[in-house]
Amino acid sequence: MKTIKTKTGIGKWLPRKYDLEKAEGTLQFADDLRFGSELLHAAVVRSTVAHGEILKVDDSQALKIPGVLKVLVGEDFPHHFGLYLKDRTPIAIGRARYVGEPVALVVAETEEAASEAAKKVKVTYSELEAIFDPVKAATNNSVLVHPNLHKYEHVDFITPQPNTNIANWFRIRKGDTEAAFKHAAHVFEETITCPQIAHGFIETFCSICRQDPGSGEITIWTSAQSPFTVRDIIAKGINYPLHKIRVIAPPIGGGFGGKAGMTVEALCLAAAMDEDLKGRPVKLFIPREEVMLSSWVRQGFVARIQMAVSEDGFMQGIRNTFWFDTGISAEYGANPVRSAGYTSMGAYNIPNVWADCYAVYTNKPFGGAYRGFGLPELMSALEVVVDIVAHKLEIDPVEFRKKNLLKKGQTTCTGMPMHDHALEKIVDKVVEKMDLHNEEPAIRKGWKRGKGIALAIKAPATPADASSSAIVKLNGDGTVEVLAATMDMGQGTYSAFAQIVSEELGIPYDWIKVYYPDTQSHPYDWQTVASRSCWSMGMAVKRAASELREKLLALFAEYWQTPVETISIEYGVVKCHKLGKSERIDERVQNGFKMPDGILKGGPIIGTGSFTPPDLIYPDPDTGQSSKVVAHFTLGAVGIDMEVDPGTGRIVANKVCAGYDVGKAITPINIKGQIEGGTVQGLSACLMEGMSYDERGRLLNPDFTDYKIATIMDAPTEIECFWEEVPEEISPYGNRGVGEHSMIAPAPALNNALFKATGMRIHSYPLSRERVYKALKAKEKGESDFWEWPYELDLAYMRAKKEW
Amino acid sequence: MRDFVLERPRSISEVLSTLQRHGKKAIVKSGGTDVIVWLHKSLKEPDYIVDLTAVEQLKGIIMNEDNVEVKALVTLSEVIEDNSLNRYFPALVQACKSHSDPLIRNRATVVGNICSAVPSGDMIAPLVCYDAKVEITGTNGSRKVPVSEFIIGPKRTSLGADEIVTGIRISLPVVETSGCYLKAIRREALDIAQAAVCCTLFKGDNREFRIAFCAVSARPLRATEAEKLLNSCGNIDDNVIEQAAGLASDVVDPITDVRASREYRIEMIAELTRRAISNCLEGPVGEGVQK
Ligand SMILES: Cc1cc2nc3c(=O)[nH]c(=O)nc-3n(C[C@H](O)[C@H](O)[C@H](O)COP(=O)(O)OP(=O)(O)OC[C@H]3O[C@@H](n4cnc5c(N)ncnc54)[C@H](O)[C@@H]3O)c2cc1C
Repeated sequence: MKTIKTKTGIGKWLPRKYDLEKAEGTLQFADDLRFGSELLHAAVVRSTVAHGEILKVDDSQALKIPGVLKVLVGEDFPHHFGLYLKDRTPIAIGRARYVGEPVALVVAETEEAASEAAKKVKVTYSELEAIFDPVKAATNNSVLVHPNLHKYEHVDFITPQPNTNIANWFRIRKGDTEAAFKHAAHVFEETITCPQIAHGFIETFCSICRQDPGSGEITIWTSAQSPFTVRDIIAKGINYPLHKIRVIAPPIGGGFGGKAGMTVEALCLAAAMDEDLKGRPVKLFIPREEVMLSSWVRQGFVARIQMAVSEDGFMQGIRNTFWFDTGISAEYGANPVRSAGYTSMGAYNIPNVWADCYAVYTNKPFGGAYRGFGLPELMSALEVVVDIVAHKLEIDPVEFRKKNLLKKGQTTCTGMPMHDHALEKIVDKVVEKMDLHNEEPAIRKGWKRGKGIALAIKAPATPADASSSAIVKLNGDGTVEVLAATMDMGQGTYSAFAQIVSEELGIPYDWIKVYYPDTQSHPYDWQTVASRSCWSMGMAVKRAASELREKLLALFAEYWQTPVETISIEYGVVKCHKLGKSERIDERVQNGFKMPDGILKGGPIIGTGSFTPPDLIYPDPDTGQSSKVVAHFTLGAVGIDMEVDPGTGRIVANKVCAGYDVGKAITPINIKGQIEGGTVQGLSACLMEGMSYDERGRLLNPDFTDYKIATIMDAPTEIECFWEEVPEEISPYGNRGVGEHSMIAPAPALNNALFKATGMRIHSYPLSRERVYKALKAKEKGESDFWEWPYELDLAYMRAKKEW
Repeated sequence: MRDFVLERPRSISEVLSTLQRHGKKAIVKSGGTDVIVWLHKSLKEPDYIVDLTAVEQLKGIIMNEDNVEVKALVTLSEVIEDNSLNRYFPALVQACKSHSDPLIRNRATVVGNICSAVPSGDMIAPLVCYDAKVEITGTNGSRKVPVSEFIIGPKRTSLGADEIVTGIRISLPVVETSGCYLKAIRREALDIAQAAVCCTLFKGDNREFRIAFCAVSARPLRATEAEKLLNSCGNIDDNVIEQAAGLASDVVDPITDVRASREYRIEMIAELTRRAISNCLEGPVGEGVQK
């Protein structure tokens, strides 16, 4: 039983933890840490060819620069790393696979000397044919990006196909798709593509590694979302005892999945473990221009979706082929493929599902985790296809969606029964708030206006056993310290944990502090990804705080000689109304209570809690079927009112309305922030983002001069967000994840609105001004669909006039 | 970034002697919004940076009886805030507002923009339309050249190694004017032009249109044929505007790069020219000086 009173528990709107320090500029990020003159600096030499044998690395000129100590090559640190598939070496060994891949690492006394020397390292290659188009790479094995794929270690639920470019092939076989298509009244097929996009976090990568020459212990300070997973991947990669690796993660400036897993730490470690350098800390700071070349981006995506619909408008079957362009590594990217695969049905009840989802290697920078983990890509395609089908069948797109909605008890494509949710209500609300069926004239002269809708769905795509644990400590002044190794990277989880602790302990929010993770002090947590933290770590924090509360109450019960049920904690004060007692929490919680019988009891009070999802079962590799493949799904809907300037192709979103079933809002301020931020990020991906390459595989927009992300000027004029609370069964307070979901549906909703405005369907993201302009020109010539195969653009670039 | 020596001369003569001393090993810096980026990316590796920002003689917007001097250190923000420039040169002010974002505009200078001489420089077309003169001083004395002669190619100017630009001078219009600067961009802030059109209209008895472009030619370019057509027509209707837009897009010669294709740039020149002419006909009205 819990008897507490608090004004700062779950559901309250409170100022967020660490916002003040961020605004004041005093929070120390990895690059702000100081190590004195001991510190060495590393700089990366990058491949200038997309595919080639490395013939020679000539470091003679580099070593002449004062302060340069060493130039390392791949063979100096011949370890393979990876979260799900160990296909990545920090420095290329023997063969370079993309333009920008590290081929050598220079270590020097100063950052300047290191980067100057990096320019002086001469690498000679024997160029090999490269492959950039994922569909070609998947279907034609003339170029193999990883001829040694069969030798790489991987987790069981990933299925690489040796002697091909397929790093993972995830399948869904539910029902009898063939029969469904044969007997369906209507059959449709559509193709939609998304380019690779980048996270665009403000803080670039930064790691500092040091190995103690005596004990061999390694310490890593790094801008990482998941310190424990950094530790695991490194321990496995270099075959080193886990307890000899300590990872400290200072606050990070944004992650969006880009700092999950292990990114550049092993590259830095290569220098720190070098026999000649060992003992000195080595820092690797990745400048903005090299971020997209240093670790993963969001995978490119090509979707072919076939849908069978009955005479009365029910979806009978879906056949999906997804090619995820994962670049040269699928170590992390293998899993978004699975995540999209087991959500192949979208938010719909489709009895027959067939899906082939491929992670395909190409000679490009690699793909991996990105907010939404496969779902923004999938839904950017699927929700447009659903809209196309509705229009072709002359059914209202909202009606068509509602008619086919995946309701409680109906099974997903993996055969798992859907839990209860409020999606139908959310759709109705979005329609009402957007006045979606009311076609209004454009606000701007000469523009065309339209409204569209799309649904969002996503589950945490973690391994079945991804666990969390937390420690809650009570201080001698009644304040509380929380050790929960989640990374608060702006999403605000520490505020949520503090509210949970306040809810459980009756101690005010301001007295509760949550610390940034250090694997040495914090108990284990898998990763800060998958929108899992308030749910999984939330469970651990709640358990830890309740354990602490029970210990404290038991001590007071004995101290006051009263049944424990008569004691409460109210706004940080321990009370017993029956006895008229009221005492502050003081040093007794550190040094024990002198009990009435004279014996000292208690001592420092801590609570611990842990959580492992109890009932997840990996899907069958051949059919993708499992009784419970994921913990839960968060569902939602987005409506967009937009208009387009046909003269330039410019699109402006007048209003966006987004609603999600969050189960329970623990920190409403964060939910609002996540929905607004995700909406803008989703629209940014929709309208302007994409990594572009020339015909030789060189990234043309590696930095923000030409990689454009929406600014506040590009944000919708109005974003209205709301949420519903149908509680989740296994969850601290019924809450579900919501961090990624807001990024999923804005793009297809906008694309559907563009169709309403213009009658044109664009099948290739982004809907850049130039592309929209071209599409509307094509519309004038009678076309109704427009696509630009991304890899054809590279070829167009080859023919183009590029300089005066 | 490679090491360099920072020189901070306090007068024009000191600047010139410093430049003479270091020759090609030095580069001049004003706002630094180009120079510092080049250094960071190792696109330039000078031994000396000659920072002009301590030279008082190079500061300020000076209104004379029939012209205005925009000195070398005048930032885009200063232009935007200046009442006189708003009154007489609305297209220049609009071009400044379309440039980057408020933070960069607090540093970036108008003169630095034309000295960089990139075809996408936003200051070039308005200065061409207003027929601005670039004032240059070197060890061998001073000279003045029109902007269109100052810029001789992509990233190339007629400036000698021992010369600097001290400012630009623009004659004040004697008639009512209107003007606008329209820029095709990929997003609403902080973007380099895919293409842009500057159009100015000097009203008076001999109505005169001037149209110049950004990011679609190697050197500053005016739409002389389109201007001729507009200036010869008594009544400018949609048909004339359409023809002028066609003539405008005929003369441009853009490239394809990651920002836009050549084809889109050409189309945008036609579209923006159409809009710019209409805008100028409708206002906003710029004033002329009273004589
Ligand atoms: C984030 C960002 C956004 C930008 N957006 C835009 C944009 O939208 N549009 C645009 O046109 N540009 C843009 N730029 C480029 C840049 O801001 C402009 O070109 C700016 O006007 C340059 O002025 P500055 O004073 O900073 O020049 P600096 O960087 O100081 O100098 C630029 C060049 O001019 C030379 N120079 C400077 N002053 C003199 C002088 N008095 N005499 C002789 N030579 C001189 C320098 O040697 C150098 O070659 C942007 C830059 C950044 C960093």
